[in-house]
Amino acid sequence: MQRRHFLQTGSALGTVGLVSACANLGGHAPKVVVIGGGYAGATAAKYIRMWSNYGIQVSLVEPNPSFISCPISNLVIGGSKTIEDITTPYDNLVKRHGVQLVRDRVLSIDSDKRLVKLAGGAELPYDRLIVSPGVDFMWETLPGMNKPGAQDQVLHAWKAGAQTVALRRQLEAMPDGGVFAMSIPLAPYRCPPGPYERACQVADYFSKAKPKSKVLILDANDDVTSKGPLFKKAWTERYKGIVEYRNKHNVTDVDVAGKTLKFEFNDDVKANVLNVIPAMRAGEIAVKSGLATANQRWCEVDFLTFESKAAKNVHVLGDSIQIAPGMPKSGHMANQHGKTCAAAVVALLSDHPVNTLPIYNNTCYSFVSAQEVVHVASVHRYDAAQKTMLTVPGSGGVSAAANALEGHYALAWARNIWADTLA
Amino acid sequence: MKLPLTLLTAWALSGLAHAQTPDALQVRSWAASCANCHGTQGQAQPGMVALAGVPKELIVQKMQDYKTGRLPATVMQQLAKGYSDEQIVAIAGYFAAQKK
Amino acid sequence: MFIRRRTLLQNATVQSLLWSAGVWSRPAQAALPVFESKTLAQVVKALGAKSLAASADVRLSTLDYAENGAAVPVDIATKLPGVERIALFVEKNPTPLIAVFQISDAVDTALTVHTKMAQTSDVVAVVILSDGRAFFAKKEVKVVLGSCGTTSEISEVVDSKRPTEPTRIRAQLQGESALVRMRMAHEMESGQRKNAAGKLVPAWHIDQVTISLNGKPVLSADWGPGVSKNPYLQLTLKKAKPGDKLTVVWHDNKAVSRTDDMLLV
Repeated sequence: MQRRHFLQTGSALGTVGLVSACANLGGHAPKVVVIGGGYAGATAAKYIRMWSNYGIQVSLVEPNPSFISCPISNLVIGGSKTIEDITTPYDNLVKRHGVQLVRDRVLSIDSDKRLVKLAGGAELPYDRLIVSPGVDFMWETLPGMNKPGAQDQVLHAWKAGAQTVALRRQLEAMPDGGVFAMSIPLAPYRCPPGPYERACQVADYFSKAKPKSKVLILDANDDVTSKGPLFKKAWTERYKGIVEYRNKHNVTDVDVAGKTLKFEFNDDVKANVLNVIPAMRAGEIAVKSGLATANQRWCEVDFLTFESKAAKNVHVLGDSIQIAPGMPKSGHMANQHGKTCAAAVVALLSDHPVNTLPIYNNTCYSFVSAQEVVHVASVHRYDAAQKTMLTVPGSGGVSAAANALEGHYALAWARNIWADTLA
Repeated sequence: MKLPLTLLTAWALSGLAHAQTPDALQVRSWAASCANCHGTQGQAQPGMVALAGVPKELIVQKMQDYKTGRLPATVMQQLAKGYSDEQIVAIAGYFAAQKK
Repeated sequence: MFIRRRTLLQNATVQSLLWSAGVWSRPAQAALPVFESKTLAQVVKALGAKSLAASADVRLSTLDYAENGAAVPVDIATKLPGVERIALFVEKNPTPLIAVFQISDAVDTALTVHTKMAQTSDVVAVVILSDGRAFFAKKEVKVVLGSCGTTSEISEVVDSKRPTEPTRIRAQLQGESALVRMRMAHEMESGQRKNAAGKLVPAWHIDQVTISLNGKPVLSADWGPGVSKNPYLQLTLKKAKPGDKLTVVWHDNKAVSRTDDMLLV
């Protein structure tokens, strides 16, 4: 019997073996397709395999050859890490957990037929679909950035990879005395403390290599959106004279050739290196599939299962979702979504009850220099009355001050979360 | 096609022999949220304390010390306060049963 | 006069128009009585309307989810003829009436304003016509506050006697009309906030705004404490040309006022 066969097979057998065995027995294993191999998708893929004792088939559709982490990528920009340090291949997901990795992009989702259509032409059927495409930028809000070549000259580096290295190169090429201007969109955006960490990393680099240079932060928000006092202390104490923070500066256009930022109500700013982080929304495939029902930008989900409120049998994870109160768009959180959803999907595919009390946490580390770190932590627990995740009263908090001990913990966190997600 | 209940139950029984509660899978999910720092199933990468195979009473004691502030910490005291005493005991039991 | 006399509100409007013309200095005073109304029906009645009905002709556009309760953008537009006033109402706010705009025929019946929202609530846009009929559109906005250690420091309490800062105004000529956006500089203390010592910070907010084109008032408004800090406002002038002068005057409940001009280019 097919079922007993799964149990006896045990772990780490490739899907090929299971499929052929199933074919012999005339049945088929449940199929899950995961769109996007980031912190959420890769974790979900691994844990569905593990927690179904390798009985559920998982296909992971991901266009990039390797996983490159946004967390720690600011240190590549700062110069204390390399792009290789933050790159992990998908090999272990395939070899150790039998995930079928599909190097492709998704063209469309047919939720009636339960089919995912790939750009390369193939179609993947699914019993359950997980959509975790991260974020995509709202380029329509910055007309100048749609001109030919604009996006190659003015970088966001808000998706780790080639742009991370390219931004570092732009900073290396900048003359001493130059200005690095970084714009931050109105929240919500991926990784609230990220831009402020980047400002610290660039300031750290400038303080060592180009001390007459300046870091200008142009923030659309009323104030620093995360760990404000800790970042401001770093800017005024460690990077005195280098970092300038300007709030309520909402970028409305970019003159790429003129290296100038234009604002809703403020005077233009010209700089040597522009880093424009545009307003963002859920990844394109989620938006065009009708899943982004919140402000037409984010995907509403059931927090017990992460099932989309807009489509049955489709789950959305990670930065793409409409958050619960106090829930950050972080890699750590996306990984937690992956595990919560994996448990729910395995339960749903086996007629087992879904956990009625998810509890998980977030810890975000920000490097204010190459060694010293500040963190913010929170614990989130499902509230049945409000049908959402709420932060647990009395829990969570931030660092008292930046310190090197947490710098060690931050790097250990990275090693462990990369292993939890991909190994 | 759905996996049968027997498959999941068999797995649960094999992995959690000493923690046979109706919410065994729930505890497994709670414990999984520690993996980001402490490794999948508590098997940590270098630089972080492993939890797999650590005696249950030790984990409970440490978590209580973090929760009450008896043991200074950077982040564990903030996280420990997010879990009830019963949840801590259950999660500790899960890790104690994991292979090192 | 482009507004027919009918209520207390209009007396105030006449006063403020005279005041902004330099004729009459207005002492500090409490918010207009209509701002004490707690329900939509009471507000509409206090504004002198004869009836109230939902209408698909009132278009209310705002967020499904607001992650920043301090500033929720609200667009209100209608093609109904004879609009005299537009009001914004947030049901669950401590002071639910946010703003009342008096519309002249020199501006489009389309506005954007930013409001504070204390919690998930219905947001209601009301349009009152010159014949006394009122129509509304309603939408629930879920307030889901953002995350990740948002600044825990309580912002300093600003002294109302410190010099005012300019209203930043941007106007974009589009054919014959002009899209005007502005941001006023004002703390807009609601009176609900506690300072670092735990004491309530007294209410201090803009309560009256007059916008004029070439000296002639085109839009005026009465504001309560619910309008967001550093108030944002967007409107469209039906007829505008280069060289026209736009004047924005605000007045607050401590008798502080500010006038800014801009020449359209």
